[in-house]
Amino acid sequence: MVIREASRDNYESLILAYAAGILDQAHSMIIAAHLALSPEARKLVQTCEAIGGTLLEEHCEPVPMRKTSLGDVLGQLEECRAHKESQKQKAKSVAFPEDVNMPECVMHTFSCSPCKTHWKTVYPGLKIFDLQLSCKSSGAKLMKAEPAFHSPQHAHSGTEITLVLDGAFRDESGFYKRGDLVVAGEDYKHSMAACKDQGCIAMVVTTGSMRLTGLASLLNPFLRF
Amino acid sequence: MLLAVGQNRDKDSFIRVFEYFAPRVKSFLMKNGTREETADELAQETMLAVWDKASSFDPRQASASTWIFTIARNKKIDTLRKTTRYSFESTDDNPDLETTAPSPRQTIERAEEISGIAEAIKALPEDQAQLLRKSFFEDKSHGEIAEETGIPLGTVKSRIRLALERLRKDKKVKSLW
Repeated sequence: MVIREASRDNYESLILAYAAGILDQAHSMIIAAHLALSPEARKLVQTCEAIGGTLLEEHCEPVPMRKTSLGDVLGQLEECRAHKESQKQKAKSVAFPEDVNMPECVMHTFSCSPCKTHWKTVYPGLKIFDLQLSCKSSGAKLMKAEPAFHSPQHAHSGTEITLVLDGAFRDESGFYKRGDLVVAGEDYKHSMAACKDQGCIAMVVTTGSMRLTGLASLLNPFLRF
Repeated sequence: MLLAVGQNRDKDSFIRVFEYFAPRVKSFLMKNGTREETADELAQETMLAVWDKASSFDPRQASASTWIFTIARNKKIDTLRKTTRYSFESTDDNPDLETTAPSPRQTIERAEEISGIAEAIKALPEDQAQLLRKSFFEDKSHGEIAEETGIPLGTVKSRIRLALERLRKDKKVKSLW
């Protein structure tokens, strides 16, 4: 997994934030999907969770439970909670196009399912599918780039996190394939070239918006990405 | 003790796990301002989940406190933040896990590694340790932490990375990584 030095800070703090449970819905989803595909990332999350465990045990002054709490809990040990759990998880289900190779953990945990739904062309050679999460602070999309697609150079007003699900792409910072996560910080200018044989399908989470840079900035008013 | 709960459904062991961890989980949940009553209920739910899932606890993967922390964290996300939790339960690229119980030696080694993290955290510079505590306890995003403390967001992120690097370099912790 290639991580540029400059985005290492962004990457590691994202993984820690995931372990601490402070990411918003869209960011949690892309990191969970990344963990499913990257054993290296899983090790880092385990270290972060071990920090959580240590903080729990060493830095949380015990606060006595109510006198009845233990009794209440013991009384419920034999109850069947599996049914209640599956009731709770009936969140709004999220559809995504059938040709996306979505990690099982994302499908399973969020009732995500592939269906015959259509990609939307936003630029020649580039299609997107909006994942329609109920997340106000960030947007999550799937992106499908045709083989040899080359995006115009662009920058972002917030961060853009890309997880490759199929195929591969290259930008100025490196070459990325399934499971690789790329974090583009604010104002980082880049252009992306999809692999010429397979193209690329990726999950993208953004805060803020994208704008084209250089000559292509003339297109900005027409862009709906 | 957790192993006894998992393998034998031993209620006495569970009671001891409850008595040690429930007050700490309650304390953890109150650190972001949650009311005591709510924290008490969530701590109870956490312990019920511990009972339900005890058979899946593997001391080779994590210490008891880490495992219980993840359950408490997930309860916190589900309940307090009202977002659907994306937990990690991978089936892709999953290495084969052994199914035999850990040897006493493996359990001791693991305990040493975990105590290594505790020592390494104590040795962190305060500006890094503070950010770790805020991340885990206060339920604020890094952007919100930056705003609250006046520390630039880029600095928050680089201090967190430095803290992680120090923890991973620590000899006892190395084998975790």
